[in-house]
Amino acid sequence: MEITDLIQNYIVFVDTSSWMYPEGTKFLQQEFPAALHSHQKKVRISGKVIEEVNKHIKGDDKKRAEEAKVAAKLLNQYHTHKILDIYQDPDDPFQDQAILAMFMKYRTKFHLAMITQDRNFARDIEDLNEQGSVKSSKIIKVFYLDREGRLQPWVKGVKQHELDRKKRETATNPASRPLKMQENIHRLPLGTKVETGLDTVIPVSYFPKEGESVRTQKYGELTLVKEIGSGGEGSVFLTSNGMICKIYTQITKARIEKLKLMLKIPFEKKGICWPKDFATNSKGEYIGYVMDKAEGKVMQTSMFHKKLLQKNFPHWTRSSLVELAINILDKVLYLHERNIIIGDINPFNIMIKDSNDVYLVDTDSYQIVNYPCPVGTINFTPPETQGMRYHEYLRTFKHEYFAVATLVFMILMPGKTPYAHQGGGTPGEDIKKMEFPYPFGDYRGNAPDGVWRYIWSHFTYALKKRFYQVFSENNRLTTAEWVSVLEEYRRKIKLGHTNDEIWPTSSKIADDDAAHVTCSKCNTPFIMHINKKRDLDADGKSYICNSCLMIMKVTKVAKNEAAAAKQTAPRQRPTMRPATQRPRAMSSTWTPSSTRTTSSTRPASSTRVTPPPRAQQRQKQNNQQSTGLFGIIKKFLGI
Amino acid sequence: MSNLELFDEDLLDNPSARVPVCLVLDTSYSMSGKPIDELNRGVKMFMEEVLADEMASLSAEIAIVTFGGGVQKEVEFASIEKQTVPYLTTSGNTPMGEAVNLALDMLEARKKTYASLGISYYQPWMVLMTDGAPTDDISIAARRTSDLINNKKLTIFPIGIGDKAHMETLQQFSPKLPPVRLKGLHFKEFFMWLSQSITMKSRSTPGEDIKALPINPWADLSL
Repeated sequence: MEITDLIQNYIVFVDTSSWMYPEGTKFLQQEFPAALHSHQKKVRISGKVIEEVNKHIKGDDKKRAEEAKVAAKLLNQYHTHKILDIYQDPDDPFQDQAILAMFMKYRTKFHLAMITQDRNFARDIEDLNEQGSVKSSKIIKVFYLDREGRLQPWVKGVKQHELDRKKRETATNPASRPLKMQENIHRLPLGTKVETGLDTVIPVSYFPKEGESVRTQKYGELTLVKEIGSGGEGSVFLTSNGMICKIYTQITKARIEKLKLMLKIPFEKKGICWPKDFATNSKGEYIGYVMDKAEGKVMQTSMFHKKLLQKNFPHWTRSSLVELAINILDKVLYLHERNIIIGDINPFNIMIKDSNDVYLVDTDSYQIVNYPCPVGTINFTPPETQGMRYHEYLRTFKHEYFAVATLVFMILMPGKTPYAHQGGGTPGEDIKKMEFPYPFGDYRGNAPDGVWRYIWSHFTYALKKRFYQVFSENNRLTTAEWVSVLEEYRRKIKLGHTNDEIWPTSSKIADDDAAHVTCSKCNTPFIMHINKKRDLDADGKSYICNSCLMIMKVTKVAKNEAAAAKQTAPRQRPTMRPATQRPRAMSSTWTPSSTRTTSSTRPASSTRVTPPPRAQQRQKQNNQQSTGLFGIIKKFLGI
Repeated sequence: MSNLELFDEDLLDNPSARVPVCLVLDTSYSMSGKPIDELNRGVKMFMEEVLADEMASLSAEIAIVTFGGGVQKEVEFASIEKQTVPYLTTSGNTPMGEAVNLALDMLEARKKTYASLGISYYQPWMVLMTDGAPTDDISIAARRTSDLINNKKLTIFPIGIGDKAHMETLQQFSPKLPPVRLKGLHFKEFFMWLSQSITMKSRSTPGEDIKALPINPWADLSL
């Protein structure tokens, strides 16, 4: 079809993948805009194109960033010459879906065309032609740009030159081979059955220790400079070339086979500490692998408590949390595109240097084809696999998406798990019941007290909806969908449409509904919803600020707790206590405005709990669990 | 004797799931001398170790009940940062049943506190240590712990100290894990193990229940 025919008769859309296709530049820079201009037509894009291009410009992938810059330049030129129209539905972050919806809506009125390099997307749009429910004389066409920058039609998700090649192959080889996916991504097959029978331990004559050396093919001999962590599986060392070496305590056939498979995958992504080479001892026996060094601090212990987060990342705001989540999901997505399932997503396996500099560690536990991820944690295990033994089944993307959503939730609500709620129980039970406690629509919920409710109330409607959809309706979003949701949330924060505070001190109150009052307990001025003030005034009650209310609630709860477990009769203390250890009574006062009172009304010795000096040394670089004296015990305990 | 006026902001701010741990310790007269000194050292080290670990200090909550003469709440549940190490002294007889009942009440009440504020928690742990035999009726307390354990609502570590510890009694509290006799006065090794176990519990947790008490440096192998 001639380009002139196309733009005169069709409404033409161009997808991000084509804007960024290097060989397409010629067409998009010359032939296409010239034709549009001369016929006074416009090309249409969805708002997502701009978001995606910008994301790639800032991304880690240098090649993609360059392509994105070219695309951005093109788009700006189109915009300047008024041959570009942008469609954005602000309420729907999933622009792919929005475009499909738009095609559905207008297919009876106009001829529509889409230019995309994305096979799946092309197929989705082509399929609209075959939906027989609507009789339409209008046509939907889908094109791609070939290597010479020519516009070519997709034929049921297959490119023209692939069809040609298939014809040639069929001609020469009657037992025709299936078409190969023509993409850069090396996609592994999905696992079908857990690999078994490979648990045999392979005898190893010697495991090198700190100060000794290991051999690698790619990096030569490396000295184990310093042990930086150890756990049930083995120890992790910093080596002489700055890389990290993990040495197992035990080598099995499965371990070696899985690593071999992982080393075969072409893999280059900053922030994923993927195995780079085998490590062997002086006899050439496999003992572990080397990987790039992760930087930063373990997520769990650096940001999952207000005081930790404020100490480690004092400059962070809510936008930083969103950016952090996007950066982590960007890496998760890279893995998912290759059919690699992480399995054990959890905040001990993520290291954070800053919100835009994160590392995924412990990659050797990832699920690779039929090798399961043998570990996991309760909080990130979906209801349907709670209680199952991690090494005995293969996880699905659906399982993984539960973990992804949980991670996003715990980043945005620093450290709080989605199902923790009033009247709740153990984390596993709470997940199985799927009682998501945060209010949405008509659902009131029984959310945890304090800051968690306030954070939730400040979330955008779209974000609340997605969390509710996943945790209450069990309808999970893909990683890519979460990235869109988060990008939209970040945009809303940047625009000032929602709060940039990490820990807001009250629920969201619109300016028009805000009443300025003073707390009757601590005399602090604060903002109250006008309706609530009205109710309190009507009942003749005084105003109490949130922090005083919380103190009252916690105090009441503490009182109930003390009353429920009374000791029968306090006995006389014997006089064996040495004079130096004489009990010291500490006074206690309740000051509502203070955030912390330290007191104990009970006589206590003067020995305050202080951490032993090696506490600092314990701050592990990797997330390897400490062995101490009892590392092995964990295996027995199964914890 | 109560913490009515103690406002623990961690109950609102700390999102970690808690593991309540109650130590129920024999401080009867027979523990006098070296045993109580070693026990004090062990308890001190235990609390310091838990505090030292970034994760355990946010997850583990410790209470201590002693039985010697009477039954005493030596340390009440609170975040470890706010607690003081007790100095335990010995006195009188061995009201073990009453002590275990009080400990169970405290654990139950703590769980209620968690639930009413929306804090997740793991089922509690109880450490029961004695060097002798109870001087009161333990049947109700033993039935309570057994029921809880069978319903996976409690994990108990029954520990005998010295030759005179009545292991059969300890067994009555513990339908699953057999009681273990402490090797000599290796309290420090035991409490080191306990703090390590809590640390593990507060980290990667593939299962919620303890499967077996392993042979380890604090247990008497001649058992």
